[in-house]
Amino acid sequence: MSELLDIRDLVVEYHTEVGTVHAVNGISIQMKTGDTLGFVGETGAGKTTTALSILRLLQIPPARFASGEIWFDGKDLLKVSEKEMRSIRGSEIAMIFQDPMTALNPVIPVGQQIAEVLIQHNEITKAQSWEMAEKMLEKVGIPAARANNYPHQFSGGMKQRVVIAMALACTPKLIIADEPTTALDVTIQAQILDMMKQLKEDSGTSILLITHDLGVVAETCDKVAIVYGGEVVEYGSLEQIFDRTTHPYTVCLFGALPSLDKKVDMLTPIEGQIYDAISPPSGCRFHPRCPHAAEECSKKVPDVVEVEPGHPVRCLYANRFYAQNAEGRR
Amino acid sequence: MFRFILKRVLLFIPTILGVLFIVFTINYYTPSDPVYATYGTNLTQEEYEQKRDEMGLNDPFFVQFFNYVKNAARLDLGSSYNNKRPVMDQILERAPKTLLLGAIGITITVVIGILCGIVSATRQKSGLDYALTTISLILASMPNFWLGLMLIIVFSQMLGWLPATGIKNWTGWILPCITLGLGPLANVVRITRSSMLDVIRQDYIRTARSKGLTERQIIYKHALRNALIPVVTVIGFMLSMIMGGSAVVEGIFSFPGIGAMLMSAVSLADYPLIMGSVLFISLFVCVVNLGVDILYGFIDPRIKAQYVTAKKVKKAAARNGKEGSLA
Ligand SMILES: Nc1ncnc2c1ncn2[C@@H]1O[C@H](COP(=O)(O)OP(=O)(O)OP(=O)(O)O)[C@@H](O)[C@H]1O
Ligand SMILES: [Mg+2]
Repeated sequence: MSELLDIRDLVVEYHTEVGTVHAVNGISIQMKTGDTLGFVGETGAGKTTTALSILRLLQIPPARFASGEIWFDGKDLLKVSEKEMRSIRGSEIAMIFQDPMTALNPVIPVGQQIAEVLIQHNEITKAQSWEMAEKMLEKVGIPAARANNYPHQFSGGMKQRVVIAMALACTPKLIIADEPTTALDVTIQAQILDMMKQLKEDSGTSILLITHDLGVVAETCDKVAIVYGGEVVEYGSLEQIFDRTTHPYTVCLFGALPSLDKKVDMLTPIEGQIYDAISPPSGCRFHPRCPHAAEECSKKVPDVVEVEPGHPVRCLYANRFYAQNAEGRR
Repeated sequence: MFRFILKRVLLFIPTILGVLFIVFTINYYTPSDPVYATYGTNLTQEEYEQKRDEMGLNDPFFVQFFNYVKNAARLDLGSSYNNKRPVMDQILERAPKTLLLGAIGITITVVIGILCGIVSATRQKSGLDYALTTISLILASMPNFWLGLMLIIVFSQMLGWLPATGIKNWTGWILPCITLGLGPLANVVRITRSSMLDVIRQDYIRTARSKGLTERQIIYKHALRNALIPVVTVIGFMLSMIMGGSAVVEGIFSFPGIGAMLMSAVSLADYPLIMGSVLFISLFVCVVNLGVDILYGFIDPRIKAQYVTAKKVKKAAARNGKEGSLA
C-alpha cells in the first residue's frame, strides 16, 4: 500500500530579529492509511511547526520552507495552489489544536462553527449542515440542543470535544492532533483519548498524534517518531520503540517517565539546556546532553542507521546501543 | 433584556439631573443679569426689582433649581431671554438637523474608520497601511475648529465648490458632516487596526483557516466581530466627544442646529436656552450610550449573558430544581 502522508527532508526556519530559528531540520515521516503515528518530543522540538507545515498554516514570513516535500495522497502540498490547499484543509486533513480554550471563536455558536466546515466542502444547504452538526455533537457526547451555545458556556473538556467534532465533520483522511489533551486534567484526558480511539476505529482515519507524553503514545499509537532539535532521531513501531529502545534521547525520555514498577519518587528530568534552535550545537544535536557522548559526537553529524527493518535511528553508535539495550532488557 | 433596558432608562434620571444641576450652578454664579439680558438696561430701580421678582430670581438657589426641574418635567423649559420664544419650540425646530448632522458624522466615522482599519490591518506594513496610519495620525492631531476653517478656506474661498455657511440646500451639509466625522475617525481607524491585528493572531483564526475557509470569510465572519468589541467600546466613549464637537462645528458653519444655538445662548447669557440645549444633548448622549451597550450585547454573547436579570436566573434555577426533583 502506498503512503498517505510522506514528508521528505522538511526544513523549516523562522527568520526573527534575534536570528534564524532552525525549527525543523530535515524531518522525514511516512504514514499509511489507518496508522496512528505518535510524534513525540520535548517542548521546542518542532512538532507544531511540522504539523502546521502540512496544512501550510505557518505565517510566511517569519516562517520559511527552506527545502523538502510533503506528499499527501499523491500531491506535493508545498507546491499546490492556495485554492487547492483550501479544499484540502478541513475536508481531507483536519487539525485539532493544542489549546481548546482558545481554538473556538467566542462569538459564534459552536453548532455554526461545525456547520461551517460542512458547508464549505459539501454541496448542502444551511439546514442540512446544521442537522449534521448536531449529529456530530451527539457523536462526541454533547447533547444536540447545545449547538446554539457559545464556547464560553462549555467546560474545557467539552470545548475539546467540539473541536474534535469539527475536525471529524468531513471525515478527513488524516487528522493532526497537536497535544489534544495537554490542556485538560487527567480524567478528562483519558475520556478524550478513548473517544478519539473509538472515532478513529469507526471512520478509519489516520491520526498524527503530537504529544510529549509517552503514556499517551503507548495507549493510542501504532507507530512512533521521536523528535529532537527538529530531527527524527528514532522511528519505529510501538514495540520497537518501547521494547528495543535505542537512541540515548529516547532512553532519557523513558527515564523521565514516572513508572509504578520502577519505584522512583521523583521524575528524572533530562540533564542540560533544552535544544537551542538559534545556534544549534555542532555534530549530533543531542550530544551536549547525551550521557554517552564521545569526542566524535561533537564533530560528526550522525547518519540514519537502520538497526532493524523499519527502525531507523540517528546516532553514531546506534548499532551498539541497540545491542546493549536489547541485552539489558533480557 | 427588557428589564435591562428599563433599568438603564431609569438611570438616565439621576444622570441628567446631575448635568442640569452643574450647569444651573454655573449659570447662577455667572455675573450676568437675566433681567438686563431680557429687558435691556434702561429700567428704573422699581421696574427692575419687580421683574426680578416675577422671574423668580429672588428665590433661594435650591428653590429656583427645583422649580426649573419641576417645569422641565412638564416639558416646559421656559422662554429664551433673548428672542422670548419658548425654548421647547426652538429645540424641536432645530433638533432634527442636529440629529441628522450627528448621525451622518457618526456614520462617516464608523464606516470609513472601520473599513480603513481592516484594510490597514490585513495589509500590515504595506504602503497603503503606512499611508492610512499617517493620515489618521495627522487627522488625530487636528482640532475640529481648525479643520473646519481650513475646509472652508479650501472648498469655499479658493475653489468655490461648497457654501461656507448655512444649509440652503444639501451642499451646505457636506462640510459640517465631514468636519464632524473626520476628527474621531482617526481613533476608530487606529483602534480597529490594532484590535484586528490582535484578533488575526488568535488561535481561533488559525482554526478557521484550518477548516479551509477563504481569507474573506475569515476576516469578515471570524475576525471582524471579535475585533469590533473594543471598537464599540471606544465609539461609546467618543459619542459624547462627537456631540460636544457638534456645538463647535455648528458654530463655525452657522449650522441651524442645537449646537449653534447653545453657542450663541452662551455668549448672550441666555440661561433657559443654555439649560434646554444641555438637557437635550445629555439626553441624546444617554440614549446613544444605551444603544451602544445593547449593540455590544449583540456582538459579544458573553456580555449578553450578563444582561439576563437576576430574577430570570433564579427562575431558571427553580425550574431546573423542579425538573431535578422529578427525575
Ligand atoms: N512564530 C515563530 N517565530 C519564531 N520562532 C518560532 C515561532 N514558532 C515557533 N518558533 C520556534 O521554533 C521552534 C519549534 O517550535 P514548535 O512550536 O514547533 O515546538 P513544539 O515541538 O510544538 O513545542 P511544544 O511542545 O512546546 O508545543 C522553537 O524553538 C520555537 O521557539
Ligand atoms: Mg507545540
